[in-house]
Amino acid sequence: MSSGTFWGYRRPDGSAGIRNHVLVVGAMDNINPVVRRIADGVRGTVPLWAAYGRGMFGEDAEQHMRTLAGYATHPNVAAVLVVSMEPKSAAELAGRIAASGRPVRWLAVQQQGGTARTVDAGIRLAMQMVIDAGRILREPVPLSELIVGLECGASDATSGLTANSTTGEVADWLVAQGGTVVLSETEEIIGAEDALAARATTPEVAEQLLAAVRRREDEARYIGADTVGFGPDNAAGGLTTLEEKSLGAVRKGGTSPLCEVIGYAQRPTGKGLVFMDAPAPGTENVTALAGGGCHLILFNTGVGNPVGNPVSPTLKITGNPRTAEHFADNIDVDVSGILTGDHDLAGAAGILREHLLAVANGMMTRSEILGDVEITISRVDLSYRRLRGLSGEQP
Amino acid sequence: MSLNALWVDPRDHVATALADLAPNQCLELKAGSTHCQVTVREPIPYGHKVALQDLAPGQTVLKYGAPIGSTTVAVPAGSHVHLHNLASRRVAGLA
Repeated sequence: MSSGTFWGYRRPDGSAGIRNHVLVVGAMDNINPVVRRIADGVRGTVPLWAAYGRGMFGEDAEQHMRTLAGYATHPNVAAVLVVSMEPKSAAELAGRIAASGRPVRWLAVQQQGGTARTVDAGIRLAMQMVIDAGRILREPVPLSELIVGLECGASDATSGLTANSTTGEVADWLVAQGGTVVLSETEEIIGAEDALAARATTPEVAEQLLAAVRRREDEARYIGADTVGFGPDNAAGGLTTLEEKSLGAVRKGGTSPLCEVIGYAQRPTGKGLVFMDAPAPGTENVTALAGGGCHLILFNTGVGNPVGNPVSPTLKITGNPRTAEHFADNIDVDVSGILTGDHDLAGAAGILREHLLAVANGMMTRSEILGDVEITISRVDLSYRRLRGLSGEQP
Repeated sequence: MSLNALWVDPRDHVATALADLAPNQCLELKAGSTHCQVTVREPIPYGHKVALQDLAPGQTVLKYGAPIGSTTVAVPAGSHVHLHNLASRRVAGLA
């Protein structure tokens, strides 16, 4: 294989995945146990369920459905079985999936006549999908098609200096290969937004980034939360200012020009470094990144956060020597050698790059193996949006 | 070999302690191909910053090659750089 490719599964919509999942997806929370039972009954399937899905309105409902559809049409997904309580929502989600050319079937528990009959039918449908998906073979795919999402959780004083710096080097490498890197966590860039906006390719992109930060700060004020995002624990760890903390976080995006700002779980339209406006907490942010089509996630953790994503393999990277040892079961890549002097930043970036390619080619991550996978779809505060005139809806 | 402080960018005015640093300890640091040397003036805990050169009051302080705030007093090389002598320019500092 030449250096500029990975082994991927080509999809009917032209994208290429690094996994070949058959997804069993629940359209609303009331049938989640049915989704889990079908997936339990068929090896080779991945269950995807989320809280809510009923009684949602406007942009809140739209974001929920867009995210579920984003997973169901993700490059890593070969085929989908949709389960819902009633036919309308099942057919709506299935319609979006069919438009991507993927095999899709749907079941409604009310129509099937209860859970036992739905599970029975679902197992047979999913089983056939797994058989069919097995015929798709990996083929060389240019690295320029790879989309990598970036996240950090349970950060500490080492994060900005080690893991984020290493990830930044790898981000620059992937952009140089023509690929796409998605930086996110809007509240984590407050204080570093000017430095990032200065790298925007157009004034419009710069303004979109600054507007996203202003909105996040305003939203925090609206709900009465601390807008500063810098606390005594940060100071005790040695960080002095918000700028310093945020510059450390932004470092994981590397130094490339900022090409685009996208919304929650939206797909990048071009290549290069992209910013996704989505909340920072680990599970929520990774949910948004994977929903936006990121093939895999580089997740830096200082103290140790075990969570991964069911559809986008999530690599756990730490630069903290104690975490690398104490939390070893959940750590995919240890770059703490930067602190112990075992390797420099370039050496650490080489280790991470090699590991990233191995995972793209099929090597499983710790969170995939351990089953530490979860999604949490963020909700949109409609009252805030109406108050600020941000909602497209008529009052 | 173990590093006792990390200097990220040659433009940076500060390095981060990777161990508890003691007065009179001499640090030899490298950022890229640039070298620098500084003698620690006071105890600096792990994860905290040390000034690599004399800083004037009101001077912009760089880390990661970007401004992290401004000094509030004169800061001699080797000093602990933290809340007592460095303030955010983005938001009011901690009380």
